[in-house]
Amino acid sequence: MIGVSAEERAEIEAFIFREARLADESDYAAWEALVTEDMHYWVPFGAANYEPGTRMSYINDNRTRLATRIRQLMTGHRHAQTPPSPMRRPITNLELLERTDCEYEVAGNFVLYELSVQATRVLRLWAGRTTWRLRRTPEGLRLCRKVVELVTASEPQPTLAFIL
Amino acid sequence: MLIDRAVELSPVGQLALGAGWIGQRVASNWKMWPESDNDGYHLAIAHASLQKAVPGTQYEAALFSPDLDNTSQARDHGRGHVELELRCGYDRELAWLGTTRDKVRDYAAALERAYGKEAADRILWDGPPHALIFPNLFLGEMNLAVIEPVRPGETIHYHTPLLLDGVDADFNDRVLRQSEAAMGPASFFLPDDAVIAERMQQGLQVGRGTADGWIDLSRGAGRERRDAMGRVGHVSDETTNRGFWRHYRSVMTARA
Repeated sequence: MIGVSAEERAEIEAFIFREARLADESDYAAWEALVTEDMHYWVPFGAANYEPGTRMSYINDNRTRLATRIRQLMTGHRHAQTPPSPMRRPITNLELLERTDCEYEVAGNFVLYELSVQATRVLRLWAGRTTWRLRRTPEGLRLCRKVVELVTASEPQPTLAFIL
Repeated sequence: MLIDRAVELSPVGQLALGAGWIGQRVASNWKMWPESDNDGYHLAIAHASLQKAVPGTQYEAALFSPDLDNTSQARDHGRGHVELELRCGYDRELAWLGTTRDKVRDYAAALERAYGKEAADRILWDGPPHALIFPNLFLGEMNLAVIEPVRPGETIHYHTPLLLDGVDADFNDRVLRQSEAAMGPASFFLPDDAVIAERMQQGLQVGRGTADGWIDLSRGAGRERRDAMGRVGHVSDETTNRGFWRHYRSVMTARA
């Protein structure tokens, strides 16, 4: 990753890998603790080349709606994720897109393997590019924006009730 | 008539369907979707997680309660067209938009200018229909959905928000935000319907050809009545499901 020191790079990667692991393991409370109060979580339809809210997206969560999403998952009655899907996602090709005094914008590729254990027991493959906007806070790095552009984003999707 | 009720929500009588179509792929037969979309009984079970996570939605009074103090109705309009008539179960006007009149003053004023005060008041109470146009067009309140069969065990459920012409941008923003929450593969409702449809598909495959391959649709058959619009039952009754299947049987067994 060009544009950051070795120390910063290690810190950014550690954050991204931890965030991915918590999502993989459906550890919703620990995952939610990584996001800021102005978090925006966006999974666009097609490429992320439009203003969210001007047309339909798969997910366009402000902090309030993200809290609802997580609260719903944690009720134990979210059938679409009961039990939670076993998942693993390697993350590669990390690049720094932008840095400011207190924020980094980093993008990378992922492949996510999901076993849909709730009904079909099919192994689903999700692939795409994630852009993370990270902010330095007194508690360490926190996630203030996550944009996930799926390779299949212009096609109908199977159930997507977990955290991408 | 059902489509007219959707169209009259616009002060200029026109819908705008340009916000994009989102599709959810489901490993179930398409005929589970006319049922799922228009069944009033499954809400409190299939969508229990949403009810717990977001108490007090517009569905609390009109749909979630299977009790008789819930005055919403299930309707069979004939020819396979069915409806969950929520307007008679709402506990306030604009419940369908999850808001109150003071938040949508411009919209209420535009309706009044277009249709007069009495009709505007009625529209603000009634809201959009929740209904199926046989066989596969779902008027899902402020969403329009199309149920597309792919093969016997696979369906795509497409939807777009029912945006209105002749209203302010804030109104349509609200509709789009509601649509993102309600429908689609990552929404708060549809994924739970989808996984249950997939489980039912598996169950029916196992039971095929035996006595276990049947689904009982008799709920509320004994208290169903008829009025000028067709058969009507309590919203939690399977009047809608029976209406769909009765017509399906009729068209599939008719001689060409």
